[in-house]
Amino acid sequence: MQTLTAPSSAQAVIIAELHSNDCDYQSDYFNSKVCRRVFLGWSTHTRDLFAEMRKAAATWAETAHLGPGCGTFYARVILRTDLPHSNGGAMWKGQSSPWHTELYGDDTGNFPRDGRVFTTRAAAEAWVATQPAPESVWNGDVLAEFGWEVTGEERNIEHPREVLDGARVLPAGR
Amino acid sequence: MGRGFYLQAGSTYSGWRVCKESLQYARGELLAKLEVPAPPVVAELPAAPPADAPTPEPAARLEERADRGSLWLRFAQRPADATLFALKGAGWRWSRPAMAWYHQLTPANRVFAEQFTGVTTVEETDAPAPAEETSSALPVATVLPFEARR
Repeated sequence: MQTLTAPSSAQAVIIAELHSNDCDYQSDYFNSKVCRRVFLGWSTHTRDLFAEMRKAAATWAETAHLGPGCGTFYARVILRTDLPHSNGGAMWKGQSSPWHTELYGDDTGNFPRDGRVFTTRAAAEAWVATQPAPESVWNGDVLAEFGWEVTGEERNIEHPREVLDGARVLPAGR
Repeated sequence: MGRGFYLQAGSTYSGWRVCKESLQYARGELLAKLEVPAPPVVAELPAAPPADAPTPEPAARLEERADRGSLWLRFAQRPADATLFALKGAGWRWSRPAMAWYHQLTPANRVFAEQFTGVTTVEETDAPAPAEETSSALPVATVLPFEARR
């Protein structure tokens, strides 16, 4: 195994950890174990900056999905019209369609309920551009119309340090 | 309490997590346990030029300025982000006016730069070079991937 020697200017090391689920949900025990620790790069300071971590993540294929511009994005079909029900309930404009989840299926045979998952917004929008318009559905006397929407943001893979009261310590510039 | 400051997609109980550890507290123990992936490719290998083509510009050039006590590294084109991240992590800094990366002139930094780029050092002096050496003062160097140089 190659041994690491820190440069004189290095004050911190950026690493990738592979966690495996060690939870026992029945006994309300939540934990994860670290299976692998991989060196990604050196840092000349000890400040916690997501931009720096993203650049380091992009240098290795296994963590490339955490690189700059990456996040968790969903392409999903949403309602374009309100759908009041006779029982007093309703489905409102902007809600996810329960009739189109088969469109989210991927090669693995999974049909995610929240939409098809992408790493970048550009990839999600490119996939949506190739999809046909979602079919309308008659719901009672109302014709429900649908459209595609891309949701999600880059920040949802960033986990900032939290303090006891639940407030977040945001990085500089936020 | 939070569990630190990290990047992770999906569940926080499984998958890859990217975080930062200070070397101040666990230098030797931490580094000894880390796996080291294959280093990033510095630059793509250029396609073989035709025999009558003009000499291509080198992918990277290393200059040594003894009068200023600095090493300078110039790339013909912007390298990949992985290359720049590795340079920055090794303590090199970007000079925007000079459009080059620089570091102190030390044996360790020189060895790093030569291994990193695979180019030979070119010493730059203020005095004009002799006429017969001018043409060969800047050797054409090809930057090879790390794997190819092992």
